[in-house]
Amino acid sequence: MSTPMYEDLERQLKKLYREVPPPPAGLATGRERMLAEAACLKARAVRRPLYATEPEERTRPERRRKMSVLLAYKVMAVVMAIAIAMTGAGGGVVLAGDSLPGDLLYPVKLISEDVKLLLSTDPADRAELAMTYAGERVQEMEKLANQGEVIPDTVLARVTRQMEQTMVEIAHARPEDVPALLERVMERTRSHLRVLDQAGTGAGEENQTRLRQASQVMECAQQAASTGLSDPDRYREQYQHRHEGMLGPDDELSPPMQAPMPAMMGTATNDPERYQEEHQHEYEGAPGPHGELSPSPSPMNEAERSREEHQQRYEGTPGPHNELSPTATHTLTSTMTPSRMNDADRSQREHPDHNEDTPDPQGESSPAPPDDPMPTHTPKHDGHGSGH
Amino acid sequence: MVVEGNREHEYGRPYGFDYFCVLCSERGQKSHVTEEGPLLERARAYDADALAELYDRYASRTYSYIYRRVSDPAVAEDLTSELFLRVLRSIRNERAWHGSFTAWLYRIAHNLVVDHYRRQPPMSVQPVDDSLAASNVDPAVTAEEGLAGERLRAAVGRLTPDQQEVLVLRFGESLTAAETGQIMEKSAGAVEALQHRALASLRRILGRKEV
Repeated sequence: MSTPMYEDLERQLKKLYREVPPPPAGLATGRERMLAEAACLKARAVRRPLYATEPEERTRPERRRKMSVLLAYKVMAVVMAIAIAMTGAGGGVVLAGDSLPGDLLYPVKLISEDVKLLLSTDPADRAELAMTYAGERVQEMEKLANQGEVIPDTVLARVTRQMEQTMVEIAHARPEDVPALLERVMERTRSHLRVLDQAGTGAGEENQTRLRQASQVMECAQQAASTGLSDPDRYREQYQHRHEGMLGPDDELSPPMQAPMPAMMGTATNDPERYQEEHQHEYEGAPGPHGELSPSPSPMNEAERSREEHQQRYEGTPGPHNELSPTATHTLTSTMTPSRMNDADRSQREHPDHNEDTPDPQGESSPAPPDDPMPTHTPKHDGHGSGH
Repeated sequence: MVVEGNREHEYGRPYGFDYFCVLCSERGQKSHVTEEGPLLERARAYDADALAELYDRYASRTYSYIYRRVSDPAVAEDLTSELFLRVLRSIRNERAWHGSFTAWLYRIAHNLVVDHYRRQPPMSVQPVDDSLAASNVDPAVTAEEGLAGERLRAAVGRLTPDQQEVLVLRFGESLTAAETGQIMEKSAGAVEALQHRALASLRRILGRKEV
């Protein structure tokens, strides 16, 4: 390992790197953060495959399609017609408000909620609505548990989604409204947690599991709100891009945190070379066999920041065409091609004043070692040949 | 005894790098590596105990690595925390590891450091004192070794991220060229060449003549 030419330098480096001061907070905070997030991820993964982080467990990420306002009115008209036909009175939708999962009018109730959300144009109002509907789900769970009926998994999924939507809509609200909205989240989740805790008393095992999972959702939201209150700007940055905020026509969820933003996928898919050039150093996994890189954070601007939040959840995932990254032991040569660009670009981009490309009078006239597949750097300053 | 290269072991897939897990002191201890597989499987299921154990096992060493790159304990601690959040969010995707969990940790750490420096305003990158190159004073003979250390640290800061990484991995983490290559996804030869260039650049920056 030691090169005689640089022995003194190597000695100094070893000495420099030997001293590592202890972490100021003892690394405990990081541990708690990780375990808290793990609890949230586990709760989601148990409930719905869509929340799993493995790409193969998710459905193909689908864009949410916004229903046009006109279509929303049409849906509302159909709902009203059905409700009137079923009840013979105009109070169909009103009656649906007290329905529980399994009741005839329960779907009317849910559709009515979704349409109201769609028709609302103000993010703060949508946040309030989503929060209210999540509260409805909690009430439904309480009633079902008290009646000894099994709480359907769909109720749990819906309350999760509605709390997520609440957090996202808050992030899109006016900045001056965010703290108050987050306070309401804190207040309501506290109340929901009390209800869920009481409902669990005497409930069957299956319902206890559901109620516990719902409690975890509320705790996650509470944690997010609490964090957001301490740093509202950061909260908005993190949640604004999470998803479009609309339901798909089949009630499918927008993939949660782990999913890539459509814009990011579009960039990677539409112009992979440019995407690679811009982000080629920011990957956690290896490049795919065609040089595609897993995206990674680049928080230089708004668009890059949004990519950051999703890319980090894409560590090492396959390239845009689902090709697998090779293992480290395979085809090292083939993985060198992106690295060639990496090193050259990185050198130029990140250390423009760096002079390491200046030929070393001792070393650079000699060819690269045979197993070094690349002339690493493009010389900047002179007409000499390639780097080392 | 140090075992190099990829080897099948009881868990049924090549761990290679993990076979001589460099993040603990138990090089070549097969029993230790065998424990790792089930631990990771449990961690992938978000088992709290498994995740806690992973954290306890790797946090200190990854913190040390990051500190050697950023030279700030508070920043290193924050980045270590962020590292494990990223690990958590991607741990279920085994393709991210390429069969080497520890190498993956280092890669994430490296990218976090790179992103950290990219977020810094240009002025915050400490420029090397111009007198370094011109000075005829041999730092080795100055009374204050700390000053020499700071000069060296500043000079390392002028290298490219890859060069900084190879120096930290080779001289800070004491990894072999092969081990470093698995982290950096380069051949051992490429690692040695990169190391050579890094040291040559350091020498130029420090203005030292060759021995």
